[in-house]
Amino acid sequence: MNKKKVDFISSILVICISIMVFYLSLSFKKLEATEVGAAFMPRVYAGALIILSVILFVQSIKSKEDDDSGDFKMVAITMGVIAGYIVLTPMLGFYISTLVSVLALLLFSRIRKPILLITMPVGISLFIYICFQKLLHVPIPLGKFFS
Amino acid sequence: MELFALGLSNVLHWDVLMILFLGVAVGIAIGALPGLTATMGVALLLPVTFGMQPVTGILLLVGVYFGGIYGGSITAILINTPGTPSGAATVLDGYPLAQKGFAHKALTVATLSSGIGGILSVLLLIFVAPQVAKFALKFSAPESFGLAIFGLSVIASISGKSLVKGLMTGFLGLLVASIGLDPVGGFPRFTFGSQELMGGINFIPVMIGLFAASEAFKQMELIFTKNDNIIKIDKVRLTWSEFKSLIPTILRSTSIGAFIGAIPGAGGDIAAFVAYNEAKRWSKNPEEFGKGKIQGIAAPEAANNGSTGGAMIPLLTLGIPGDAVTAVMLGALMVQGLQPGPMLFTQNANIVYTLFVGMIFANFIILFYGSIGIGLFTKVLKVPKSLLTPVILVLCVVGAYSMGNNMFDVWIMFIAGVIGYFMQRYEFPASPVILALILGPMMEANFRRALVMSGGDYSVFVTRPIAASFLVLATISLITPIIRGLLKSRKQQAL
Repeated sequence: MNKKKVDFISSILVICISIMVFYLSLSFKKLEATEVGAAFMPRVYAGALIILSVILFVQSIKSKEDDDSGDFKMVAITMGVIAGYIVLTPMLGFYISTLVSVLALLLFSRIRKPILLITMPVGISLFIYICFQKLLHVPIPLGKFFS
Repeated sequence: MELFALGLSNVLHWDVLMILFLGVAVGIAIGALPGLTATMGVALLLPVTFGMQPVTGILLLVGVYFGGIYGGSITAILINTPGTPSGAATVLDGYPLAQKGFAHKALTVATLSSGIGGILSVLLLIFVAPQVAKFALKFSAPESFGLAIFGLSVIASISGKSLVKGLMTGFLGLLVASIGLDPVGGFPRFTFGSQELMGGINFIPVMIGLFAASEAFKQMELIFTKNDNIIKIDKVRLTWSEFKSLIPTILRSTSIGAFIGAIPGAGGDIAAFVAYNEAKRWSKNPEEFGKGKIQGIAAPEAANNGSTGGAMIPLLTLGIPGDAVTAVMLGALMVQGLQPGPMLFTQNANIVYTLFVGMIFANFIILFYGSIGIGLFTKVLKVPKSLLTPVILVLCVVGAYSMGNNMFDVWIMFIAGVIGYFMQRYEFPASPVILALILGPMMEANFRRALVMSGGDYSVFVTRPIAASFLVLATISLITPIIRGLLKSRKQQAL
């Protein structure tokens, strides 16, 4: 997708969001004596967004076509690994998830040297353990299977 | 003057100096780690101070506070992640300059600006504290609203190429900021029945995701390109003439920082953005901002460290904390049996002056650590991207978790990271979102509060001079980029 198309779609999307905001704000109760209640500001924001979206819409139609750049495959893989990381952490605990996820990222990045594949995940987990869990007393999740 | 000498003699003891060195080091480390803020650092170390002498205890917290605000700039410059909210403006020019290979220079500018800004703000504290405090107290809801609007108007100058897109992301950010309980009435907005959403969207996970995670995702695009794996580091030092060109910026930004820091409820983050905006406005080459202009690093860093001295003003002169950190320090002082306020200066003048001298020392220590650390910090950039990126992503996850010890914040960080990646790819600026998340609640709460106080009378915003001035400044901030853009396109058409 190139920028022109993205601008076009985004402007329409934001207009829809603004309309939804207006609709949702109808149910906001007013608790004060003045006319400015909980719904006021969101409506101001939505109104401004509609104006801005229309401008962007017009701009996107008038602008030139652009190429799209950047290889998305590795980005998508990375996002997937991180999503998996976050899903796994409550179950397996932070440290195991970190070991697995960092290893996965390194392998996907075509790192093959065993010394890196071992020291990186372990090193990162150790650093987190020392700095966050021990020194800063952050209760790092240990997972449902281990506690 | 003798009080100074007394304060100096109190500070020049081994244990006090050691505490200062330790505090600043801990502060820098905490400030640099994304997800941990200077405020957290001070709160974490508060219990440690209970068993200490009053002055040493406070100076430990001062060291952590000052160091923490500086530490945020290091990761802001190196990996596009502000370690603390006050570093959010430093990424605008700090990261691009580092990416060009001038990380050493960028870090030097940040260190010098932070140290000098901090020292100047302490001097300001010493000499004009009572007057500033009186002025800061005049701030009520209309004025705070004006300040928030002025802060939000900075969005116009950090929108880069497209003002429309910048304003759009800004307003979308304001909408996101309104998720949760409304700040005045407590009514749940856009929560869809979810318990977690009722607590609102915490801006620190968003900041981590939007800046760090999205940048890390973006780096994966080029992971297999040979030459992009290592950024070349130019050990180019800051030249004397470059430093001289920074002096006006540093002076202006420190004053802005000290002033905003003195206002209760406003801190280093707002100060940094306002100072950045002003630096851009006063510059002869505003279009160079955002691409690695050293003034763009000096301004926010001088301002955020300048706000530390400023925040101490209402604390020490009136006993009113200006933000969360000074509130913790207020607690620390009281535990030690010291009551901040006007009486503190008369009854415990020696302690106050020892504090002043200690604060100046803390800023010098920042300069010291910075100068030896910069060589070390820049080595981080020599690490190949394929190894650095997993580390950054793990830090993002841990940092987002450390905020509130829940996974919801981590998901917010992830979503912000994914959205941030696409925003970057299709040229939707991300910084307006952060400004909106920080200032949106403050703006709305004070707007509605002001109206309640005035009984629905809108004129309160134009009749009160301070509030009106901020609104005028905000209008100027918004219009200047528009006019500049129109003039430029007209010039281009004429050619």
